[in-house]
Amino acid sequence: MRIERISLKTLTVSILIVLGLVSILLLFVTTLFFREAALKSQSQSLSRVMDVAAHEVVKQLHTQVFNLGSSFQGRTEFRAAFERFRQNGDATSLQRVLDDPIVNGFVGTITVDLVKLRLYDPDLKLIAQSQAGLQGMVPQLAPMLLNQAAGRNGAERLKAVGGVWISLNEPLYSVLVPVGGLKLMGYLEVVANPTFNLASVEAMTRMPLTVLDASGKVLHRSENWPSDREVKILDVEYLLRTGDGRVAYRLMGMADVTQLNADMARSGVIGVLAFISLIGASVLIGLWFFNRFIFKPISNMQSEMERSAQGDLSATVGQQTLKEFHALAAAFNTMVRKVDSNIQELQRLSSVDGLTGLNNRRHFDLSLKAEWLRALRESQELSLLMLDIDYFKQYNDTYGHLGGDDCLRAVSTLMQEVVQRPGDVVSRYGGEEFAILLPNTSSQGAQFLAFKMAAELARQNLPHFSSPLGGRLSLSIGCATCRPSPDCREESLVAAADKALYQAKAMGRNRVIVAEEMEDVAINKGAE
Amino acid sequence: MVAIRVFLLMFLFSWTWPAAADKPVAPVNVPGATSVSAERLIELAASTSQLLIIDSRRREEFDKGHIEGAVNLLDTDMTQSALSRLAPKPDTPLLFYCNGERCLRSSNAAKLALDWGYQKVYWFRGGWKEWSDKNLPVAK
Repeated sequence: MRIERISLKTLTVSILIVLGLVSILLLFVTTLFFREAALKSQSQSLSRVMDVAAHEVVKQLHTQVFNLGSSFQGRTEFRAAFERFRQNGDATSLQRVLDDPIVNGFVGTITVDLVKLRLYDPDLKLIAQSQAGLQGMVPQLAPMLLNQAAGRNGAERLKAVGGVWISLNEPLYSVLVPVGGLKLMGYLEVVANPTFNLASVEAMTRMPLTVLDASGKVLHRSENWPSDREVKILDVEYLLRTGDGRVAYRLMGMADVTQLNADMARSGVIGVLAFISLIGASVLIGLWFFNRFIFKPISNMQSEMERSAQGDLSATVGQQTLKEFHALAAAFNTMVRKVDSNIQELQRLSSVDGLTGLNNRRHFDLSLKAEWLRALRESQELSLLMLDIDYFKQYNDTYGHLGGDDCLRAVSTLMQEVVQRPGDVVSRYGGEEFAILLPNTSSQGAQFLAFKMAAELARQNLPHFSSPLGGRLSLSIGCATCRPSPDCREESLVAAADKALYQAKAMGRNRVIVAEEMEDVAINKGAE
Repeated sequence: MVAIRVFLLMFLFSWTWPAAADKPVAPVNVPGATSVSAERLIELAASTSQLLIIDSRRREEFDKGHIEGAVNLLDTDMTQSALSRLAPKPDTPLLFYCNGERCLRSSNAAKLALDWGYQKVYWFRGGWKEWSDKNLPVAK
């Protein structure tokens, strides 16, 4: 498409609409990002909640396991069996005592899934373990616990240590409880299955829970775990690690984000609607503004410029618009004024005779035509005087051409002084000939003027030594008057006046001759 | 100015007010007795086979948990004859503890034992609070 065909209005509206659409698109994309961020943040928060809950559960588990171990190691039959084992190596009763809580349970085992009891000497060497419970465990203390417990001195050796560790891919929780009170006999490792306790994370976080081990095997799954994954659900994950940093459990939760999604969707829709309204309002206000201050002024400027182009230089372009267009209009107006004044000057120059300042022949012809038509229209008389300076060639020869010019100017001044009506047209007809057009003037009026002129020249007594007519400057005047009619043309008036002038010259110059009537009046006589 | 004077007077006499009398705090040490920490207590128990640990708290507190091997003897129940039944010889090393620095029972008991001529008196000022804070073995 060519640029000249696109209007400012179309361009502006297009730009506004494109901007609006881009904004809406951006808002839409932003809403999507925002939604993602909100879900991510929600997921992180819930994961944190799960973290806190899991730690709380592990802490409780530690306390429970520690209490269990503590009370177990203080039991008289355990102490007695241990003492017997230490003295004579008889492990039968010790074995029975270690198996008992796993087989029969006791009060401490209600809240803990006890899987093994193992007994170590003060140097942490395994000396006995329950036959019952978890099978296949490596017969030594877990390295993670060994790191914590070994190499301690004094009172430190009497402190219990514990933590999550992994035995044969199965996460376990052990607490190593010192046996023997103030006189250390050995250590009792109480091993529990934390999965049993981790299930309570669900109640704490109020989220359906699945507990998996590091390999992804499901160890526990909540009854509330939704089978229908169509529900808008946010997955929450938390990794519970062992004391040495290995992943022991993957805890997976679920949060119903239907409400969140609905809220997001609603705020998205509200946002888009608000934006659309805003853009609509902006477009309307923008259009009004552009219309008021740009489009309309430009349209006005255009029509006014066209008027000027068609020749009406009086037209002015309105300047009530924005700065740039105001400057444009002002420049255009200045240009039009300048052109107008130049044209007027040119017109003036084209109608004026340079030497005398009188109207020139061209202007005379135009005036004659116009006045002829007017006289015809208004059926008025039109008179014409044709004047010639007598013996002007001799004057030039005597006084030089500059003197001749002065003479022409003097006669012109005289004529302008005598002819006082604004409508009368005094013109230099050519050389030393002059023509005076007298609209709405009778023959008598014209003659009066002719005589007055001749008399005034005589009174001024301008010297002309080479003139045979008494050494003074004199005029021959042909005078013609007519009432124009449609079958007669203006040239006939000129011809009549010219003929009368010719007659005046032929009759000896320095006289006024009236055409048709051929009145020959001696100038001298008339002047005197 | 009046307000400041009143405040200063209140401050000066504040010690006389019952509310200002805070909960009792055990003395920093008992003259004649050796103060020990939990760690020192354990070392002492290992090195001194004759050491008699006396829990000066109430029975029900003792039953909830105590240092293994300790005997329960409330300070107000502790008479010279009752103590001499547990420790007939005055050179028997005795160690007293109660709930901790908020508790005056063990310091009172230690002073009594010193008055009665016992020569090796130890006092575990941190008491049960320090013991359980340090996750040391508990007997029930």
